[in-house]
Amino acid sequence: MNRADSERVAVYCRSEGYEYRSVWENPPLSGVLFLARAPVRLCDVVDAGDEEPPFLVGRARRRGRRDVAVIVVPLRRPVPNMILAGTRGSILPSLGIALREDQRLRLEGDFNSHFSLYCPREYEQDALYVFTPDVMALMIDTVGVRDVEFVDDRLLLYAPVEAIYRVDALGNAKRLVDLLHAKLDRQTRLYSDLERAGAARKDPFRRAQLTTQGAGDFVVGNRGRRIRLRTTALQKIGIGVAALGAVAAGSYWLWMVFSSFIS
Amino acid sequence: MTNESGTAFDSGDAATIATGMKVITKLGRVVIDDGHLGLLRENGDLIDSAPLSAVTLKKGLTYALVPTLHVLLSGKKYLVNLSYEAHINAGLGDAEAKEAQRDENTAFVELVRRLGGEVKGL
Repeated sequence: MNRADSERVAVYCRSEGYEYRSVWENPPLSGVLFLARAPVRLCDVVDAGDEEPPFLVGRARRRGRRDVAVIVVPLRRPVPNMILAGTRGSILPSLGIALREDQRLRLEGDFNSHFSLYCPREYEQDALYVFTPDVMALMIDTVGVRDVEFVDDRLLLYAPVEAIYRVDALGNAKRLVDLLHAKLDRQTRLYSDLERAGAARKDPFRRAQLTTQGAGDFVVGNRGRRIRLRTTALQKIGIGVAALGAVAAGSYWLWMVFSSFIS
Repeated sequence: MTNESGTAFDSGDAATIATGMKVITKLGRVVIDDGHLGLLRENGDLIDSAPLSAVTLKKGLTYALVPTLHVLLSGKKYLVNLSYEAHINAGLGDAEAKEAQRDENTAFVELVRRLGGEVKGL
C-alpha cells in the first residue's frame, strides 16, 4: 500500500466517523501474530470504537513477513485461546506460525476439509461448545477471512490485506464483523471456566489483560490461556545451522589455543 | 522501583526474558503487584504470572559470568535479565552493566524473599 492508499483509508474513516491512525507501534494486542520477538506494527488502523459492536482493523506488519489484515472485536467473556485455521489458504504458516498438532481437534462431518481447529489440551469440550456445527457452517460461507482466533476477551480475524484494504473492499471489515460477531458472541457470552481458573481469578496481571468491562471476573485457567506453538521446519534448519556454526567456531578456538601451547 | 499505584516492583521496559534458548523479548517488563509476579512483553501482553508463593528464584551455573536470574513461576523456568540492556543502552560497558545488574538482582531477590517467594542459592 502506498500513500494514496493510506489517504483513501483515512478519507473512508472520516466519512464513516471512525478514527484513523497511520501507524501504531507495538499495539497492546494478544494473539499468535503478536508473539514473535520482532515487534508488530499496525498500519492504516481503522478504529470503530463507537460502532456496535466496536471493532478495530489494521494492517499488521512484521519484519521479513507479508502484511496481513487483522480485525479485532471484543467479546463479553474471556475464552480459551482457540484458532480456526483454514485448511486451504491459511495465512498463519506464511507468518512463520505453526501450531502443535496435539492441540488439533477433529471436527464433525466434512468440516475438517475446510478448517483445522486448535485449542489447548483439556479444553476440547470448551472448543466444541463454541464451534458448533452451525458456527462452522457460517465460517465456511464467510468469504475473506482465512483464520479466526479467540484470545482472552477478543476475537481476531485474519485476512489477506487485499480482502480488506483494496479500493472496493473497505466496507468488508464491518460486513465481516456484523456477520460473525452476533453468532460468536452468542456462543461465548455465557462461557465460564471458574473451576479451572482457581487462584488465577485473584491474579491482577490476568485480570489486567481483559479489556471488556466485567470480563475480569471470568478469567480462563492457566492451561487454557494460550495455545502452544511449535518450531517450523525452517526454524529448525536455522537453529541447526546456528548450532553447527557455534560448534565450528568453538572447535576452531580450541584448536588455536591448543596449537599455541604446542608451538 | 515502586510507584504511586502500589506496585512493589517494576523493572522498567528493558528486561530480557527467555525460556531455554529462546529469547521471548529484550524489551520486557518484570512487575510485582498485589502479591503476584508478572512477566510482560513490550506491548504489555502477559507472558506468565504467578502468586509469589509459587515463585522461586535461583542463579544459574554461570551467574558469576552472566548475572541472569532463573525465575520459576509455578514450576516453569524463565531466564531473566532485569536491566542489563538498559544499562548498555545508557552507555555503560559490559562489565559495568553486569555489576549494576547484580546490584539490582540483590534488591529484587530480597524483595521477593520478603514478600513470600522462595530463593535458592542467592
